[in-house]
This record gives sequence, structure tokens and C-alpha cells, in this order.
Amino acid sequence: MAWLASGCLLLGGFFFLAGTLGLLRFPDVYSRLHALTKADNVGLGLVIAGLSLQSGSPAAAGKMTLVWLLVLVTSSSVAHLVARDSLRRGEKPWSG
Amino acid sequence: MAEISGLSWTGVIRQAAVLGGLWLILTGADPGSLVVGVPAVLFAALVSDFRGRGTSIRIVPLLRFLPVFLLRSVVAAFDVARRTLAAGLPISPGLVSHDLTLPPGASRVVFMNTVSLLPGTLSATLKGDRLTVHVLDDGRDHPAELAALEKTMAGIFPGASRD
Amino acid sequence: MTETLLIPLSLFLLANLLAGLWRLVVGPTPADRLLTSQLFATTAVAILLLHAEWQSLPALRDVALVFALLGAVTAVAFVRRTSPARDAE
Repeated sequence: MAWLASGCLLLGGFFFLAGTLGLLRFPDVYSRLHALTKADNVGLGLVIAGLSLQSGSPAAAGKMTLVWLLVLVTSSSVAHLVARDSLRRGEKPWSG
Repeated sequence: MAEISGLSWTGVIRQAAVLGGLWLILTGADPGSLVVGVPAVLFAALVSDFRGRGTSIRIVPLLRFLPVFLLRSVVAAFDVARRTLAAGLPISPGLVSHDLTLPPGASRVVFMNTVSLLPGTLSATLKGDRLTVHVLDDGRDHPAELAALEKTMAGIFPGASRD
Repeated sequence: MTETLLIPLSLFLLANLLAGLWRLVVGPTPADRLLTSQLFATTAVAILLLHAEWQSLPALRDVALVFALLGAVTAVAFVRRTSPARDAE
């Protein structure tokens, strides 16, 4: 169980790194949004999974799951709002 | 279903169960908190039911979709990680239009948010029934994937099929 | 064993966040800068949860909950303030 918890935490950290790399390396706001919304949300989910296994407390796990759901809903809605806003400003998606 | 002056008791009970569960999670099931919690939950359940009909959700299709969603989210994150770590930055973004069959409302919102969390797609704009999706890899068969996801959503939200 | 990971991981996430702030500096569009606030919110939530476990301070999980809520408010406020004419949707 401890191995599984540690594995979740490490993989979570890896995805946070991937999200930041995407934010820095991807060429336009749209592709950067992809990187952040996908990598960081899964990274947080894995950190929460690891912590839930580690703490073994259903109350803590329940609250952290709630936090994760909230972050999922907000960051996917925010991604849509930012993308919509950028397209309206005439920000062209990068291609090739 | 007993309906008294627009109030559905099954709706109130279901809402109270959901809110009560939320209260227990937020307070760590502290018994002392129930002095405030029970009246607050009952009041909120009554008020939210008066506000109008809620969205009904089918539990079985939802539970069936959940593992698929979790797995594909992880795939999405790996996909992004692979592309950011690769030397040549292998992405070929584009915009894809998709005509929604889901009606406006909860099912459509959940669909659009889900699209943004699955591999390579991001809900960008919505004009009328036409959703524009920004994709990281324009070589994939996005229309088919979006249509399949929409069908899954229609199964979860029974009030949402228009045909 | 997992215990020993908590602090190194939260330091790593902090470094990750600081690196991401470069996007705040270079932009170029306001939307690009907003992305850093998204990064900040998600990372802060993760760090708070790690510390709640490490220091046995369950109250930090409530702080994380508030951060998760604030992230949404910030972004919606941003879009509403800066968006050009909105058509009805």
C-alpha cells in the first residue's frame, strides 16, 4: 500500500512538471490551456489518491476528493472561458 | 411521485441526501455540527426544489462512464507530457466544428467540460448549436469521438435526448 | 516511507510553480498571464494537502477547498472584465 501511495505521489509530481513545461514550451494560449487543464488536474488527482491511501482516513479522503472535483469543474470551465475570450479577441491558433 | 403544489417530495429527499452527504464530508462528520447541519440541509433541500425541476441523472450509465473518464484523463495527461517532453514539440493544432445534438442545459455543460479534460480536445466557443473544439492533433478522427461522447452523455442525462 | 516524500514533493511543486511564473512575465496576451493563476491555484491546493498530511493539520484541507473556489472566482472575474462584446449564448 505504501508503495502504491508513493507511486501515486511521484507520478502526480511528474504531471505537474509536464503541465509547467507545456505552459512554458507550447506555442500559443490554446495549446498551453491543454497542457494545464489536463496535466495539472491529473497530477492533483494522483497526489490526492496517494494522500488518501497514506492517511487511511475516509473523512480526509472524502474532503480531498471533493476538492479535486471542484478543481476539475473550475479548471475545465475556466479553460473554455479563456479559449472563448481569446478567439473573440481574434487571437489566431498557432499552426505548424 | 407525490406532487404537492409543485413540490416533489422524492426530489426533496434526494436533494437532502446529497446535501447531507456533502455536509458530513465538509465537517468530518462531527456530531456537534448537526445542530446547524440538519436544519440547514432541510431548508436548502426545500428551497432548491421550489426553484424548479432539477436535472435527473441515471446512476448506472454514470458509474459506467466514471472509470472510462478517469482512465482517459490519465491518457490525456500522458499525451500532454509526451508532447511537452519531446524535442521537436510534436503538435499540429487545429479547430474542429461539431454540431451538438444535446440540448442546452446541464448535459451540454458537462459534455463541454468533459471534452476539455479528455485527450487532445478543448471546448473553445459555442455559437448556437455549433461547438468549436481546439485540438492538439488534427490528424485524429475527432468528429466520431465527439459524437460517441455525446451519446454517452445523452445516456447519463435522460431528459437530454431530442429525438 | 510515503511520509518522507511529502516535503520533497511539496518543494518540487513550489519550484515548478516558480518556473511557471515565467509565463506571467513574458505573456504575451493577458490570457497567457491568467494561465499562471490557474497553475498557482492547482499547485497551491496540492501543496496545502501535502502539508495537511505532513503536519497533521486537517484545517489546511479546508484552506485548500477555499483556494479551489477562489481560483474559479478569479478567472470568471477576469473574463467578465476584459472580454469584448459578448454575444448571447
